[in-house]
Amino acid sequence: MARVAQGDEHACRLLVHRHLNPLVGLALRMTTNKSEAEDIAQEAFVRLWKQSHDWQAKAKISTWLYRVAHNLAIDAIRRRERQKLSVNDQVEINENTTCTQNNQDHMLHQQDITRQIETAISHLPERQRTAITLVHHRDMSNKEAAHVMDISVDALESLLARGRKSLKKILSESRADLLGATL
Amino acid sequence: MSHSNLSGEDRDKLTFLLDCYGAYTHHWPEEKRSWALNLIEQYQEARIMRDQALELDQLLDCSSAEPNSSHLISSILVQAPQKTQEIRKQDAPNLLSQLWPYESIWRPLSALTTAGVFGIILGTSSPDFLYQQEITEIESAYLEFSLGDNFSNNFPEGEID
Repeated sequence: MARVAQGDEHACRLLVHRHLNPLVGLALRMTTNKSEAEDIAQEAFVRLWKQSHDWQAKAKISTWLYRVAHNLAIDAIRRRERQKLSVNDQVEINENTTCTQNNQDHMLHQQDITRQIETAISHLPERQRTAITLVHHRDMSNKEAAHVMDISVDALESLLARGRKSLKKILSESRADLLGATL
Repeated sequence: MSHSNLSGEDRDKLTFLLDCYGAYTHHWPEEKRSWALNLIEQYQEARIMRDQALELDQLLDCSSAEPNSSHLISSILVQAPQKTQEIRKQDAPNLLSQLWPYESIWRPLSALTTAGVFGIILGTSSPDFLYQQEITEIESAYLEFSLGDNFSNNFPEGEID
């Protein structure tokens, strides 16, 4: 982080490469709006650049970024709710994520599976989506994820348990098909 | 390895752990990991519970939630701290510092300028004074040479025989 503060371009680039896509992914999960998610990720980095001169050595960059992005996404969601934006403005979530497979047919099938999973996740309440994304997709410890969401570990566990239970229920109808594709 | 059933308490705790964190051991809280792994190693029922939880993990793995956003990289980096460029500018030797590598170039330049300006002012404001002063000295020397009687008396050592 000291190198970032000194304007080391390589260090800045490394940070952006490492954290940009996961950060956009989290924001996208929360807001379900790609342009909003990209704005949030950009803003998180801008805040990191500004913070770099006063950076506390004990702080973990990824946790800090996720926390900022999480708060920005919450703000965006609240702002949108106030403005009552049309659902039509929301783009289809996660259109760019794919499971990498060599076989093209298999890849198309995987994309279809991914779309189904994303759709199921999008049906969860925002806080459950965020909790699952942080713990499952970002491999955060329960304490880290709770810190990012500014909640207790107990509250996080409750969100995770309810989220996973709902997902199982949503996906149960196509379970055999989905599992056949992933295994 | 035992095939007997889990205790009620262990079953509840393991169910809660798997419901929250799924089947991947690296997602489990550190303080519960060895306890849960022991149960899975010892009890068939625990393994079945873990395998059931694994199904959802594998489905979630299909969606990485990492959309390609590389088109944002340049605009983010533009706003990154730019101190390096300032340092580079400072470090880059310019023409003046190459010509005068010892100190800042303003020092010899200002000294030369001051001397030049002083010379021009002096030269333009009082040329007659300088000219008259030269003539007066020559004249006085000529007069002393031309007056033979007083010439010897001008030597500080005294009279010449």
